[in-house]
Amino acid sequence: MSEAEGREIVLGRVQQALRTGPRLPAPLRIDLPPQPGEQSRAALIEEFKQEWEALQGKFLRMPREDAVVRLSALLRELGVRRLLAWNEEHLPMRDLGVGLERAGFRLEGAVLPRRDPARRERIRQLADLEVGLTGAAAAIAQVGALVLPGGPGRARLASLLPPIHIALLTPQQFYATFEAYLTAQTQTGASAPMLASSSSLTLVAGPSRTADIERVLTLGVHGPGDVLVVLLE
Amino acid sequence: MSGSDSTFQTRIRAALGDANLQRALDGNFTRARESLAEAMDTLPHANATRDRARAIRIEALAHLDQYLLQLEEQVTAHGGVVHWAADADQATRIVLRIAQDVGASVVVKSKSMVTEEIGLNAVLQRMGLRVVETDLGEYILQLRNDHPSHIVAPAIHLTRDDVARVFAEKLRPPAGVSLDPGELDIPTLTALARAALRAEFIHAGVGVSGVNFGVAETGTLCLVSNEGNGRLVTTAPQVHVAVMGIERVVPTMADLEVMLRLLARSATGQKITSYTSLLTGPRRGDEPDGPEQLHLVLVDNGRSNVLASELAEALLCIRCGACLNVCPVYREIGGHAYGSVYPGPIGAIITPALGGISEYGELAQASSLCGACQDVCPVRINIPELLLRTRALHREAAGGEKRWNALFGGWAWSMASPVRFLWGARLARLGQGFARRFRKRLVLPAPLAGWTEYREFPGIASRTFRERWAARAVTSTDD
Repeated sequence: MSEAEGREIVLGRVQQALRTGPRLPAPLRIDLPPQPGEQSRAALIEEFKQEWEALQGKFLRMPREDAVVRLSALLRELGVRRLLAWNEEHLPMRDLGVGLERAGFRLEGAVLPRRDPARRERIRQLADLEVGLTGAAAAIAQVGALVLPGGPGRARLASLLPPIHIALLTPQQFYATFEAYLTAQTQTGASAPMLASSSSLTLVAGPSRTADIERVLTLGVHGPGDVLVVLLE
Repeated sequence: MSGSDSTFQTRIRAALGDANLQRALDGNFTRARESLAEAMDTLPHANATRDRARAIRIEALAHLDQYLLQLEEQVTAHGGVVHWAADADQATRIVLRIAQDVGASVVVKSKSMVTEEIGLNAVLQRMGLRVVETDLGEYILQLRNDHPSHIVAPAIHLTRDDVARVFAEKLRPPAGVSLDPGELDIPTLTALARAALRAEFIHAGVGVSGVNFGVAETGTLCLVSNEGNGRLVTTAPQVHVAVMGIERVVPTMADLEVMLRLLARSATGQKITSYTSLLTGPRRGDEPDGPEQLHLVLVDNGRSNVLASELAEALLCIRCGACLNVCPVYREIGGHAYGSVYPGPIGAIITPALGGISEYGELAQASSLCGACQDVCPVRINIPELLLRTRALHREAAGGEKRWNALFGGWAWSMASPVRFLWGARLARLGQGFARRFRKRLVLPAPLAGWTEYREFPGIASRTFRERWAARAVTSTDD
């Protein structure tokens, strides 16, 4: 059977089923009230912090002016020198990248070649980088999740390959629920297609985890085991 | 009724006799119910949300052709390729061809029930491809040539020593790491698996995943994961193949957001999984990474038949597994006893619906119809009702059963007349008195003996109501 035939058959069967049946329950109209949530910024940040830490994520706040110095100290403490980073324009602080590089750290973007074996080899190199540095589009307080869009300058691999992931956020980015975040986008004119404006958008709620061996919770299976949110104020 | 044990019954007995499995199932039952209840407590308007989720799924199925066409259009507009597979055979051939077209020798997979349903791994392996399951539990089992014993944690029957031994045997240790099984603790074992699987993710030519929801509005494929292997499978290899049952559509992004409030809570008691990926097409021209090709394989394999049948409501299922976790039968027999890709309450309906009523309809017997499943289903599927329909279809397909027909025929005959009922009751009373002389517990004679093997037959009163009424009317002096 050719693929075109497969398509004809499947569509035909579905349409036939819908014509003669379907034996589905009657359609309903259910209007869901919006979820309530904290309104004050401070309360949202606090709620997010609690959820995030309950997921074994770490949370730090620092004034912008101190960011380069304190992040440098943090990275030195972790014994780390190389970072897989989003481009500067997607980090909430300009000149952060420059500042870190002046402090002796190396930041790499992750633009992959299009074809193997060069593509594969580049990923292998990137897998050696110890820290991933990203911004975020939003932080969702109710569940403790970061919204990480993809697109130019925002590599998926930055929050996935390295064992440590640092996400930089600002206080304006906190929302009560994912629903609230989506509603806000719609109101500013960027509707649902915004979510589809890059090939990838990922919600990250803490470190990678499994309990597959003896049901013992283990972090950092395939994704980062250490996830740190840094709130720049 | 009892005859010789079917293979289902044999597997049930085996499961009941497996002490390790029983312990694991008991633990799972308690934990899962508590965490599900707690998680739903944290969801505002939880009941209304479930109603809305049900409405979304009904809408999706009621216009399935429309939404599938929209999904196809959108995925294609974003650079993806959509394939339609009428059955398992066509689906596996499509995936195979994609892999062969890019010259892949290794395929990495994240856990996907539909790919198990279509038997994908066996087909790829037969054609010389190496298939690597990347969920930690599945990976361990693959190394051992073992099978999942449990739907929740497939490697639940293994101890850390079992895992250490197979890692020592099958994995090449990174520099400086000893693989002495005695020295390996769980974090070290996990780190070893992480390193080994990293190499596989990077080496693989094709990544195969399932799809939790396909969003028609934007052509977005939603995939959830806790370990992160779902993300790596769909990002590292050059080619991503997403396999999706045709019923897994939702109309809009707003609908998806509602479903996501319920999926993790119902499945694992988490408010949200560690990772939720929304994938719209392959890597775009100006993006730094992502797969160069994205293929969506839409699989029918009997779903359109189900849509036309009286079991259509079963297609609402979002594969969360909540019904398994609260089912008192599943608690006793586990998933493996069902002998099918889809176990538990919903599995007892979908497996016969997709795979054949005659062959699998017996699974629908494994239920007390208590309704715990329906109570927790995030889309409120009326599972007990569907189980009854499945049983009826199974009976019909088997041509009815002579003993059942005779029994109920006789029952109907004796109930149709007051005189027959009265004499039937008197005879039964006589028989009961006689039987009681020989044994304490009432059992029925063969061929009905199976009915009383695990149940008591209700005792027959010494007088029928009409006899008591007649006696009362004679002796009473009141009105």
